[in-house]
Amino acid sequence: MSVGIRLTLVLGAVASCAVVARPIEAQGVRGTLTHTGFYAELRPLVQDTVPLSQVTPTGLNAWEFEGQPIFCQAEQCTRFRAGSVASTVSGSVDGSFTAWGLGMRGLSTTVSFRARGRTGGDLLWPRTDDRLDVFLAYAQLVRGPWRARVGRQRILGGLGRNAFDGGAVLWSPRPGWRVEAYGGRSLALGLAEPRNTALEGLENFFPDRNAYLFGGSLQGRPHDQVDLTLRYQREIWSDRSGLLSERASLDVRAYPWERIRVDGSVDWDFAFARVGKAELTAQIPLAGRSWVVETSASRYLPYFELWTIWGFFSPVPWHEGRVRVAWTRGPARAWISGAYRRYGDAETTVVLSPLEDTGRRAEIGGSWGGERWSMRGEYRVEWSAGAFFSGGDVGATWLLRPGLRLAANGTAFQQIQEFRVGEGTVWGGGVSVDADLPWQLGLSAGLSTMRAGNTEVLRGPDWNQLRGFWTLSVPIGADPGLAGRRLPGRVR
Amino acid sequence: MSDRTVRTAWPVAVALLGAVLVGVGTEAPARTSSWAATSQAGVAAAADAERRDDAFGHAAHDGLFPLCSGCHLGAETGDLEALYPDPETCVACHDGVTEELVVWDGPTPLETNLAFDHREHIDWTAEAGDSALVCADCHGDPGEAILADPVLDAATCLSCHEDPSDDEGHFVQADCSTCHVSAARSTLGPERWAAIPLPVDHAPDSFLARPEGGAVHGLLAAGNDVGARCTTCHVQDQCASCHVNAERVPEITGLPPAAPGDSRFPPITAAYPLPASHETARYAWAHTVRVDPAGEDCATCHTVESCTTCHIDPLPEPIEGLVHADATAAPGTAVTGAPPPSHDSPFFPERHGALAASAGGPNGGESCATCHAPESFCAACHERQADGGLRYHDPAYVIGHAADAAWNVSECSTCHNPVVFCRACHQESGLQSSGRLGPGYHDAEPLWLFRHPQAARQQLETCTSCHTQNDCLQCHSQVGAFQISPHGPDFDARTAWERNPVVCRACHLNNPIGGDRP
Repeated sequence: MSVGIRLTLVLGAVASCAVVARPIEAQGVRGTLTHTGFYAELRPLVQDTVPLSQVTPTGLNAWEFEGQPIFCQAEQCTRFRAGSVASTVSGSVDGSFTAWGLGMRGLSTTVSFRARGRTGGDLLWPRTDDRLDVFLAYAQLVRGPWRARVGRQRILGGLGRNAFDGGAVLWSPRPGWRVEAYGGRSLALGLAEPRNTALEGLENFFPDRNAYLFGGSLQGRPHDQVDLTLRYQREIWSDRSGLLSERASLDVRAYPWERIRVDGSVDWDFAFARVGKAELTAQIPLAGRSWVVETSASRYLPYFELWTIWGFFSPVPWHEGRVRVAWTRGPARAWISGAYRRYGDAETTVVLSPLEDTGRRAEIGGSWGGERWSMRGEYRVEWSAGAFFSGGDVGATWLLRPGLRLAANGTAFQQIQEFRVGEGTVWGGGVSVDADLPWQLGLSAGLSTMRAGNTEVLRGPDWNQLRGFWTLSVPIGADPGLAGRRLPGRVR
Repeated sequence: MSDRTVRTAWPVAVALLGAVLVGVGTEAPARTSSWAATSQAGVAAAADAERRDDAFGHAAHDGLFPLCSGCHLGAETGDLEALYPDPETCVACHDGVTEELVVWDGPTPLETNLAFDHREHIDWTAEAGDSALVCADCHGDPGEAILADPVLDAATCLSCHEDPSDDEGHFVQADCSTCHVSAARSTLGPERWAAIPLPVDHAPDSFLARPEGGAVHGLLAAGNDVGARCTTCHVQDQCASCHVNAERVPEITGLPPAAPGDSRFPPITAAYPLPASHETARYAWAHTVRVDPAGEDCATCHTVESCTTCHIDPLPEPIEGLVHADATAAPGTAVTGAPPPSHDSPFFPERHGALAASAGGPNGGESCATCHAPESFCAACHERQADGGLRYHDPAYVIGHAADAAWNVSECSTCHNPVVFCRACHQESGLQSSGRLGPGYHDAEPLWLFRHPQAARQQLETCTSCHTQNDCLQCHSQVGAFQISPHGPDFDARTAWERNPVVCRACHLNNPIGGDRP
């Protein structure tokens, strides 16, 4: 379907909602249009060749050029080096609209889309060539304990996020209990496009067929302190030539004793008859909730859809134990965490010395949030297979006046091996502003830069770069509830 | 007596007569509590202004009008128009010639909230077998000038209209309408209203809400005839001071409203004490199971806006029973939206997946869609982020993301398509492999090509963020250079073939497990 047709359909749906929806009581059209602009200036890596005569042998099958390891074969050596400076200016417009009051009680329509574009620069930013995506476009009817949806939608749950074009029916016989069944044409993971076209041009082994997705879930509350969800989902190729995925998940949350909370989740991959991810977490508030101790044990085996060969490469899981402690008093909060991970036996021939197969990670941080000032700082260090990382972030936000916030942040990190920053340190900093404008408009803009220190050991990638962003959000209609006022906090 | 004196005295006399005839409480009967005694004394004090000497001088006219009904026929007939003599009757003698001139325009309206029907009382006593009442039974002998004092106090009424509550007096349990008209119909002035004491069951600590739940006034309203008790002192308008849904409550709409411009009944200061039920742990996140289907339990204090502080559309069914804030004069209770306890953890942003997947916690209704619109809230991270959105990660996060990605701090593929997002960006940054494989990038590790199987098995997702499938097939394929099997020792080839033979054929030219199928 061409961009023009898709754009026409989306705008038509939005316009229809706006026209048809009647503004009675809490109904009408509500949504948000958000424009996001992005500027980046960096030096991409380029592959370069160096004559064997110019490199220095450092050991068995090992060479060095300009102080950096280099791979040589025959008379030629190859390396990655920083290319010339490239930049991009790209932008997107996100729209999410829901309309109620379509002449039938409980009927609503929802549309969510994104239009993208690249307006300048010689750096191609991911997906800017995909001009329009329609993430959601469904009609919903709610009648008593029943809810039905038809159109483009997605399911969020223990099996991740799965989008499809089809229908879903949910029945909630009583609070805490839901039964849902859904099915339709499957869309590519993380994309809002049919599988037969989503990866065209991006993956040389992409599926050329569509797939159908069927699934269902049972959410229940067998005890007033226990919630659980059981989900099953299966995807097959449209020509029935094979299976794309077949998995199930179980998620449980329980309060076994007072405020102690236990979360558990596990998923099962029928295709390979193995457990995928599993996690058990206990959160224990202490001293009147001033302290929170969280312990968790988890297993992770990456999941690959069956259209790829990766799942057949017998990936092994890692297992991890983690303890996190947080302390909160008034506006002050501090946390510390530690984790240890062990990767499963790769059961493969090890040539020379084996790679590191354990990982350790520690983190400490604190924050303070006053009425006008808030500050945050964090340091983390990680030793793991393939990478060492040590870095910290600090940030402060100043409420200059109601509706106007200024923020500044800084970062410094050292990351070795995989990305060869080496022993050098990368410093970065940025400033941003968030402003609430009239008519509930929201404006954000920021600029950040990264500069590499100790450049004599940074002959490979050049981490110096400049980034800028700006967003303008335009609410349409009054969105009740927290959605209109509370956005997810930044994690990092 | 001068004209002026007479002009002044007559209304007073008439008022006094009215007070005498219909009665105003005086001292409390001995059986009432001290509080009730005080209260009734207060009423009596308020009536002091009405107690004047018998300005008419019944004793002086005693011989002239031997029968009370000569002037007050209405007391016998029940005809209120005939309760007092016509002014012309007075002037017939007091014409300034025969007797001193008297100018009387009729009885002055009384400040009273009492409802007393002489005829009814006469009939009731007769029906009860008592001897017929005569005026003197209540009003005394005019010749004895007893009319100077009110003779019908509350105790007198209650001597027949028995008070079921001996301890608290008639202010608590009596059927008010037996003796009183509604406040809206009463003629008591502001001072008299202000002097009416607060009934003992209106104690602030229990009247609106009790520790054990419920409210005294609610129970009273439900257990009694509202029109009989509440309306003795209150008008409909005052209920609407607190009840946001006053216009929808039949018990309230059935009450008489204050007359337009009647300022005797100022709005009651709204107070919404927290009910005991609301003090239970996690009540806000469990209230849905306690809400009655019509939402009437909530509708007294809460408006739709209370719900929409947290709930988003589509609103739950009970909300249909609530009114909007702009449709009521009562302020209603203010609800402050706050994250549920499950969100308290500082780690929640990274750990919310289990909650989202498990239908949202115990005790009812803590599902994400209650407060968050998935289309905007979830998408802010899970979908917009997929293109490099700015909300979940800091703008500069990408620069240091490699370690987090390798560690899988937050499962990247939840939001990002590895092919489109990771690999495309790495490709643009020069990180994607292309063409013939060589450890140029991995050359920090000697002989990387021989060491990569362990890394591939243990961190395969990391590999796929740069490498395409064809990179692997250069060696791991029947048509590849080395035909090295990538399968582990526990690989179930038969199951894999049965599940999806298409992928098998990506590497195998023939059926790898044998059999009839090619």
